[in-house]
Amino acid sequence: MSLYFQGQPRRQRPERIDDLLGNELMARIARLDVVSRKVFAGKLQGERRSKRRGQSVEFADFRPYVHGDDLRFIDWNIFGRLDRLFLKIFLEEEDLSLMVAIDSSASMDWGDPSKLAFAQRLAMALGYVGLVNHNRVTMASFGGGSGLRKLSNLRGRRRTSEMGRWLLDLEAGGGSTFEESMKVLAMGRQGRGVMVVISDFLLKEGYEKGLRYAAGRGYDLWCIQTLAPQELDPMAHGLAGDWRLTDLEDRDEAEVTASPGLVEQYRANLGAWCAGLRDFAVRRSIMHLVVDTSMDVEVLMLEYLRRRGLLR
Amino acid sequence: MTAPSLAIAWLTPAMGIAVASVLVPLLVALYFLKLRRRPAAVPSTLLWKRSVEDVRANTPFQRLRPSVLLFLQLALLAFVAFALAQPRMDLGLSAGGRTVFLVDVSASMGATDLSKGDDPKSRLDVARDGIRARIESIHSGGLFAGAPGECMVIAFAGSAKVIQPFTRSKGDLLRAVDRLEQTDGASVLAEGLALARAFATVVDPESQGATPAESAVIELWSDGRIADLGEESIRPGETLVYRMTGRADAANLGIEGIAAERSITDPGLMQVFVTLRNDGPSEAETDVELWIDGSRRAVTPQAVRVPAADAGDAPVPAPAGSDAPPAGHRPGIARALFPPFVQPRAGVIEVRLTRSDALAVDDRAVLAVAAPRRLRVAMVGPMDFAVSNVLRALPVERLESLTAAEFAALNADADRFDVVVATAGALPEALGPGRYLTFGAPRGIAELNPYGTKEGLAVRAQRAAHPLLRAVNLDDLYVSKATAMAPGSDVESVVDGPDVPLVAVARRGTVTAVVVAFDPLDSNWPFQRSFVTFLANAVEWLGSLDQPAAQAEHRPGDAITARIPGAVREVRVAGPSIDERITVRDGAVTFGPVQRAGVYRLTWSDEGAERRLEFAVNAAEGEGWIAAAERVQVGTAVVDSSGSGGSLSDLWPYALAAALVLLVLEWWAYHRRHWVRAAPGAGPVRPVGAAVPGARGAPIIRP
Repeated sequence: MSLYFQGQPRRQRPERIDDLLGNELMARIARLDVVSRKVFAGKLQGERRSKRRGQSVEFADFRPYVHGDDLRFIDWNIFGRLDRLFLKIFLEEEDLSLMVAIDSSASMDWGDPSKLAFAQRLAMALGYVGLVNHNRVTMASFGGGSGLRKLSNLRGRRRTSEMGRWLLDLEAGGGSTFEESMKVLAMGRQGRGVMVVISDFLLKEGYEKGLRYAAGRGYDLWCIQTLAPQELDPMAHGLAGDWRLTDLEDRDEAEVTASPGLVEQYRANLGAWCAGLRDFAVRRSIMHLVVDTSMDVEVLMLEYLRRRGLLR
Repeated sequence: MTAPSLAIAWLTPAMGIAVASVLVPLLVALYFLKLRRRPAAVPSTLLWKRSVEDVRANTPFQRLRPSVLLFLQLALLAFVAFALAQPRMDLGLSAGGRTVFLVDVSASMGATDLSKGDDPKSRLDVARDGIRARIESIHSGGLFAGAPGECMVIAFAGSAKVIQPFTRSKGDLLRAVDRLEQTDGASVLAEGLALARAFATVVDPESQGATPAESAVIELWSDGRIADLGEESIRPGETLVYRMTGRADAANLGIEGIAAERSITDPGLMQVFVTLRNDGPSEAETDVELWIDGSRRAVTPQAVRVPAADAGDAPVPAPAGSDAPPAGHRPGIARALFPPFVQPRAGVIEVRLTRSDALAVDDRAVLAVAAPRRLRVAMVGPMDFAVSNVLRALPVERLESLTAAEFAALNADADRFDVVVATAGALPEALGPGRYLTFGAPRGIAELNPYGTKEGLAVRAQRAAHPLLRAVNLDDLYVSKATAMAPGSDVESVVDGPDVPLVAVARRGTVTAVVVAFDPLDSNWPFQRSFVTFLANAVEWLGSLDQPAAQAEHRPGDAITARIPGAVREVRVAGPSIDERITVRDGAVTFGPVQRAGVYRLTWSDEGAERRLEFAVNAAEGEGWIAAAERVQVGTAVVDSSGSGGSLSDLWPYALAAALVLLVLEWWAYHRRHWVRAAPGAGPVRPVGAAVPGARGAPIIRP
């Protein structure tokens, strides 16, 4: 077992798209599809039927013109007969919106494998599933050195490499701006769909407000909590003795003497923290998973996420 | 200080203080400093901080714990500093102090009751070892020690001798200890104590390196059986340390006395009497052998049983300190005699006990006997009929009657007569060597100090034990007129009148005189039987004084004087502690003081013929009681034994061991802090935001 805390070299971050998503994995997950637990009416152009009316080929109804309506949708035939302005209303075609929000704060760039690297690979895989199923895929990263970044409205397999490059460009750094980022993302969300937040959720300011923002508006929210093996069992990775631990985000220091008793207490507290997040999530119909970053993304996708209903 | 109390001496106190004063503040300072920790980055310190707090919150006595560590570490340091100061259990002797080793070398110190195994070691050997160890300990401060203390060595038995004056030289002291010689003398402390005081008293602080207030510690290495302890006293400011050397339960069987007597009717026949003494608590049996001139002649037909000593009712051995064996201790006495045997020649009679015990020196006793001899007696001056008639009746070889002038002419040839009986006025002023019985005070002996006459005197006291007064009762003696004398210290009064001596023994070099202070005709003495007995005793005693067989028994410590007849210039003296040639002065030689018991032999050649004279020296009286005293009473102060020097032990190894134990304890306590688990049932403290108890734990998806 590698002794992470004793200064053994870490594995490299992914540098190529192949590192994020290998061909084999690509082939295996291509047949998956993203599922939203929210009900959609009918399957329309764009794969899914929407209950909302809007711009589509299927006529739904007329309504009187009010000032400001788009003149293009006025039914001039009725105007000729009745001399009154009516608008044609069509059933709007809706596609599924998949938003993957990656926490790229400094705390994510830690562990072996790095939590950020894992998040990148998972986001790539999920995004690819979304793209091949013609969903509208939006990638977002928050908390990184450059604040909130988005890559919006990708659709189709052709955008895979663009998404990959964007993911590879992610740089970890800075503190977490979880609450603010969730608020912005929730406000700017278009349509309905699934939102996956990948983070370690070790947030000193708390995750509650941010998740409340994200969980509104009928979005199907998934929280995937990534934790490095070194976090889950520090003693097995060489954390013993006297340490001065520095917080990667706020440079806060904690002096600990890593005795078995203390580490046991730490693990209990970590378990309680995760349980608290899970409890919070369950009450708001948010799906919550804790994932060890040494987990194989393919297994996670094919086994766990299918079983839990995010994919099918 | 009477009984010294146990104290701790510090060989290197400065080192201990220095270490303590540096390390203890350093340790306390370390507690203020933070632990040096390895740095590591973690995603969040949130859970760690919470865990540290939780562990603290769940740990009982958390506030006490660091202080326990601190306490342990301080104790550890204290022990280390204690060890570095090199403490010893000692008796107030500091490194800079002055110590007098006052060593008993009397006969009882030759007892081998302390020897272990086959190697016979006498008490003196043990004392030597102990003193060596003490000297080593005084000089063994090592790297951190200052100047060692001054020590001196004094040996005492019947007399005392400075073996080594005060010195700081360890080598000199050790050599002095090697020079300590066993004697067979008695234990008398007075002289040794006086010597020790003389040297220990600081007269000149600058040259003696001590302040007047700083008197020396006197270490008495003895078995405590010292005759004159009761007469001494410990002065204020003096410290006497008693190192008991010997076992308190040592038993001994020895010869108390030996006597030989020739038969009156047949002087060639001799009979030997022996007195045995048992100082042990149980009855003892022994065969007694008679050796004559080095060959065994007889053994007692059956073993002599010597009763046990009576320890008296005193529960503890009575403190030594009185002249005679103390009332509490009465040795068992038995007598043995050998049947008369023919011994027409001079010779050395030796008696040996076949039973061996711890003290060997009193298991044999020697006696030198002369050949039987008739006396030659001269009567000088006008002699009373009473005296001359008695002398004529005595069995002497020759009795000559001389006038004063005739005697003065013969005076140079002193060996012509064995005894001279004279009236005081008939003797010359310059008295030649010889033995005299005089009536009146002769002018030649100035120490008698005659100052007139006294009238109407009766006997007030008589020394009944003196050989002169054997079977002599003077109760009815009345003297009408006597010479009044104020005798000096060399004169021994044998019969005392109301305030003047009536009969005295004066000795001056080769002159011995029995002086009767009155003319017998001025008293009723001639009508009493004691007169005849006294004259016979006096002639016999005086006549036999230079004959070994009848000489007063010599004891170790005595100087022996012998008359050498003829014109001999030099004699050789050989004995247990001496072998040298000595020059004859005024017809006599003096040698000694002899220190060991045994036979001392003077040999010389006289006109080609080998002549010899033998003297027997037996162990000092009272030395047979070898059971060591556990405490000695000096004057009114009782000094307990401080054990033998061997128990003077260093304390630092114990201190170091304690420090090591503390180190282990400290290590254990340090790690114990982190083994604390939360109390059963008290689950981990719920973090903020996880307010609902009973929530299902989040399963972690793992490979």
